[in-house]
Amino acid sequence: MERRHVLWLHQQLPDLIRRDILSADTADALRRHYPLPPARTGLGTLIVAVLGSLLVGLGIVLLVAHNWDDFSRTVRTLISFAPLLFGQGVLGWALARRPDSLAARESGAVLATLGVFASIALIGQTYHMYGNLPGYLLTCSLLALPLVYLADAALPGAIVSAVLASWAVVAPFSRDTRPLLWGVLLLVLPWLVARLRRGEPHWQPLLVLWVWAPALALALAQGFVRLQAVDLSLALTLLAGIYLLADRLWLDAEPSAWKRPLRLGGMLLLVGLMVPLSFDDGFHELTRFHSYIRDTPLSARALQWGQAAALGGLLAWCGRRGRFSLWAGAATVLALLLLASRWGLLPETAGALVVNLLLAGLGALSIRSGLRSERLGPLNGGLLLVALTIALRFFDSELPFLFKGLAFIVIGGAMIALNLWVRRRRTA
Amino acid sequence: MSSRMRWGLFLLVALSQLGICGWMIGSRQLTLAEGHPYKLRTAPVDPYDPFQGRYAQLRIEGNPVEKPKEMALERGQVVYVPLTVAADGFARLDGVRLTPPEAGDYVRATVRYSGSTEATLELPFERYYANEKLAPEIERAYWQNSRRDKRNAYILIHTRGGQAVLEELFIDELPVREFLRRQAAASGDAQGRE
Repeated sequence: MERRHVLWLHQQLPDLIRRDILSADTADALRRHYPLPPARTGLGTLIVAVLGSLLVGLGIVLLVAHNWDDFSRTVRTLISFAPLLFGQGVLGWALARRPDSLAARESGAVLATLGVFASIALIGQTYHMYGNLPGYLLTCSLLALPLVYLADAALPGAIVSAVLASWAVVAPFSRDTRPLLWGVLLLVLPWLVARLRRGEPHWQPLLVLWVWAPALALALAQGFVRLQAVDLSLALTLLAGIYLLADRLWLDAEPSAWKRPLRLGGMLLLVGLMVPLSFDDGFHELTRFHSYIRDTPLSARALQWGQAAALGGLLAWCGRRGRFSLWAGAATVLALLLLASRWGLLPETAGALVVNLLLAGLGALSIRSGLRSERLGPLNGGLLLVALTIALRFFDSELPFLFKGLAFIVIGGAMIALNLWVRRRRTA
Repeated sequence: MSSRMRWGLFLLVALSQLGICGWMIGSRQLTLAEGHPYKLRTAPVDPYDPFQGRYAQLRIEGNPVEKPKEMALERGQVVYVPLTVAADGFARLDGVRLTPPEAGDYVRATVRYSGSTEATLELPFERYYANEKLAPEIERAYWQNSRRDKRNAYILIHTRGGQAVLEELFIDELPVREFLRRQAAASGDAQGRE
């Protein structure tokens, strides 16, 4: 029963007793039978609390910044501690006085996280320290991530993930790179797994997942971007498989797509990898620059082995629970193809043929699932995948325009017709 | 998580954060207090160099530094640059080494680019931070006093164990902020007399 209904019942009981409609004993029995659930923090309250804290913090920073140059180095050094101490103070207050309040813990954790970034930046300015962006981000991330566990809060994890994702995008173009930044992101994984295994995909782990999953993919790609393309593809394929299996294990029961970021991320990653490999020379292009790039370092090899072990473990776990994932299966097949290509064991066009079959097969199965369950999401996803596969083959085929035009009409017509059919079935 | 464990973790995290900040400050304060001071001339700048954010990018004379042909350096590699003081009282960047010198002061730097006979280094004192209002004025003053025909700018650094801390940027023997204040006062007086 919803909390507001229980609350209404409790509010009616005194009046019913006064009017002799219920006895006091009956009212007590009703209270025991329908206990009032603990109040949950509304999303609006949380957003206001966090934004309010942020604005207060930023306002203080701006006031200090206005007079910054007038302060001596000693005063600036002391002020540098202020954001950190302020954030720690708010968090300490939240843990001491409001440990059950989600809004208080999240606000405190956000301020403490931003306090770390701000204090270290202020120290850098005070002592004219030369900018070393990866080092700064690594230090701040390592100091901020424990707040996820301390406050059982999602926002520090989301903030750090977003910051590292942004850096991963620009890092290949910068002078300094830190391939192991993905390792920092793994520090939030135990918290995520623990929350997901509790079986309550509350907004907290979902928020972190929406930011963390793309960040991990970007950080991983950044670590491999200067190595062979086949190694980069293999790392991302294994990651896609891990995402898909993790979703199958812990988020499978969720009906709405926004509550399954790992599935969406895994699918997009896999399709994005399969599309270029569906062309005749796709696999050949992956290893074409082999002789110009130095051998894959041991750290990258170890990472790939770790990923393969994680994927294998998740496959076994899913198998024991009877939860299979066709998409994860496709990722495993693609990973094996990439390995074969890496070792020079893959015939020239065999890889492309298998990838095309995978794309078409996944699309067809998705269409079937959508038609059976009368859901437009899988239906349209499958139709798009099939249409994409066919369209891509038109680019590297010699078919005349007439044939291509007719095929597009048929595909477009099928998409419209099937959508209408499902909608009619649902409203019938 | 029990209350005791939570408070224990809170103390650990808070002390770690404060400790890291304290170490960053402490090591640099120690270098400023006990490190050896050196003056380094700034190099002529292209007046069209863009200002990057809230700091002035400084160019130090002697960078790129000379290196032996057989020394192979990679981008991002940490190297050590000995400092020697010339007759004019200014320090010079005296080559590049792969290990710290056994005697004398030196600065830890990273390789930005490396050629066959010289290497461009990222030195830890190439940025002078200032607020957005003051920075353009500092930049202009630095440019005007770092031309080939007028080189009145230099920096004062302190070094200790390879760590170098930029204490101040001097223009015409004055700290840059003081130089700008006097310049502003002088132009105000001139306008008053007119």
